Amino acid sequence: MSIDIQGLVRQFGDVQVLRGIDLSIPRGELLALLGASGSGKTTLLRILAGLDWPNAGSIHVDGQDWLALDAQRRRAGFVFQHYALFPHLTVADNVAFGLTVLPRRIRPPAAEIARKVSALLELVQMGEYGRRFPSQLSGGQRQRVALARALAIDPEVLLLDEPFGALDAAIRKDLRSWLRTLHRKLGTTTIFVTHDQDEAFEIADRIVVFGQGRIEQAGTPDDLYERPASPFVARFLGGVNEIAAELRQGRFRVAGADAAGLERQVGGDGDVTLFVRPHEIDLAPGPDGEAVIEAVVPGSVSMRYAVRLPGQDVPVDVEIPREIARGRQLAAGARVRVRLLRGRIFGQAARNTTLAEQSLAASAL
Amino acid sequence: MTMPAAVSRPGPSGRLAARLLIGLAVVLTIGFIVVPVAVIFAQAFARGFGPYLASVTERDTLRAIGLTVLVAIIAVPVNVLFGLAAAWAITKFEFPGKKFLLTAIELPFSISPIVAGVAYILVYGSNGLLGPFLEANDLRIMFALPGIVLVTMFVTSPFVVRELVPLMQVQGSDQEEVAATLGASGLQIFWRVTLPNIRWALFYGVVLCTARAIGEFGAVSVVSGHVRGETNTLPLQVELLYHDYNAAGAFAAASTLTLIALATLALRAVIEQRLPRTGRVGH
Repeated sequence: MSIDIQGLVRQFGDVQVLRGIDLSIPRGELLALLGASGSGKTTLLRILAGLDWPNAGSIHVDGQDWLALDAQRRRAGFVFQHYALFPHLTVADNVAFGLTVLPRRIRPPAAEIARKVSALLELVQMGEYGRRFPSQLSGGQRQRVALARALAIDPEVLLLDEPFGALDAAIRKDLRSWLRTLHRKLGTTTIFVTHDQDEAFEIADRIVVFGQGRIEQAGTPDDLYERPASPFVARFLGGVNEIAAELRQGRFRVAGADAAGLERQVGGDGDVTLFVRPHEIDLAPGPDGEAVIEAVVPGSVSMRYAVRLPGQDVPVDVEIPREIARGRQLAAGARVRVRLLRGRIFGQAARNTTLAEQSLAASAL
Repeated sequence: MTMPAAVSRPGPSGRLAARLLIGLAVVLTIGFIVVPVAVIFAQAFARGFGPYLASVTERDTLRAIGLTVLVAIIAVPVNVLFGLAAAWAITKFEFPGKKFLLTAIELPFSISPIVAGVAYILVYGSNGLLGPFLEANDLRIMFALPGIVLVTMFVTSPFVVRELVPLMQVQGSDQEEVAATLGASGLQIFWRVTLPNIRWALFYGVVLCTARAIGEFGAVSVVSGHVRGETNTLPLQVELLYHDYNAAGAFAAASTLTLIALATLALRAVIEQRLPRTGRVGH
């Protein structure tokens, strides 16, 4: 089963929530829709489930037009952030719901339903909880029951809306790897929505980054991190320095820093914004250095430094592993030599991004 | 750590004020509620159980009880259907005029029942808007059962909706949406997901609606025509007997109404314990 989405547009009044989404999802993929709130990712998920309808565009699943089917007939298992379990039914009856509402002629006999329910509860490690009511379960347990309930209908696709958003950080980490394992076991095409970059990176085969109703980039975690397609993606994935630089005959020049190691560019000359991640910068103490360390933030794995470069508006964020930082004298107030190891530019787009996008990326961090 | 002033321990003068207020509340409760209710029963049974039974089973009173029950049996289910439909529409869908509908539903609470009765006469009476049409087709609405049922439905229409809307707003649509993705039809969603979630609020609304349908006086008084043994409901019968100087009969009929009210009160207390705490508005 593959999902083919083309030109999807959704408008609420004057607000365009989806501005033309094109996306193909191959069978069995575990896909994350990543974006800040209001970026349209949940709307796309609801449209896939048949809970909302686009103003334009198409969805085909294995060639079948899904927009011609209502939610009841799509067999898309949907899991809400707040579980939406039926409070008046036991855990077992919740899981059985999708089977007991089948028309009598295709409904499995009661014994078979019971067998399937207990198998599903085993699968989500809730085997002993069948007789309990949802109010007697913890958040993580409820989420697993909600997942079992969605799986009971043998869904074509599993849709998860911020599945771990309402849970404690510790439980969230557990459930992430658990979901990954479960997906490997079942192979059901799974799409989940998240605003948490770590969650997307840890679970998904492929990540679709949403920004203001558009797909900014779709790719593997490596693709996104190493080769961001736009300033938006580079910023969204967090902690990127934007350094004012000059491009001359394919070479970068940054005042007060050594940029000779950067890849040559074929573009024209002029002022550019260089996107450099904190760990792509090296510092060495030296009285002749033009940069000054303004602040030091010790971390468990690495040290972070705020470094003032001449000609830059904001201090540059630098991250150096503890093992390497130990041997160097890098204290606040010290003069240092700055060397840029890697960096990237986004042509004219680098300076044409709107303020709104910048603030959106900032709020997502 | 200092305690906020509002919960600090009252001084001696504060304790005196508290006792005075509690005493006042007790006196008022006795004077305004306990004594009148007790008097009704005392008067009804003043000449023993035999005469009481005779008064209650007197032909016109029995007819009045029967009519009142019939009106409630028609008006309450209709209002339940209306209440469910309106609450469903208001809480699960977005449409223009939603705010107006919410306000319009509350209208019967703010209109005096007498005014409602007069309004119905002006529409359905023989000199009313539809009078000639009704007369030509030999349809009788005013001063007959249909008129009584209509005004009762009007007066009691907000009760069920008002109980359901706040609860259903808090619950949202997530459960219904999940049920739809699991393959449930609209009717299955209503019976198996929505109704179980609102059953206690619905029951509560039904109890209030029934109590009002049985006890309504003003609006019914205008449209009933006061025909003895024909269009007199129980509250009208009480008034009529009282004006006939038939105190025993009046109090006997009144005691029946009071018993219904007390039963409603008891049911209310039981249901309120089962209702989930929401931002329910009191009456």
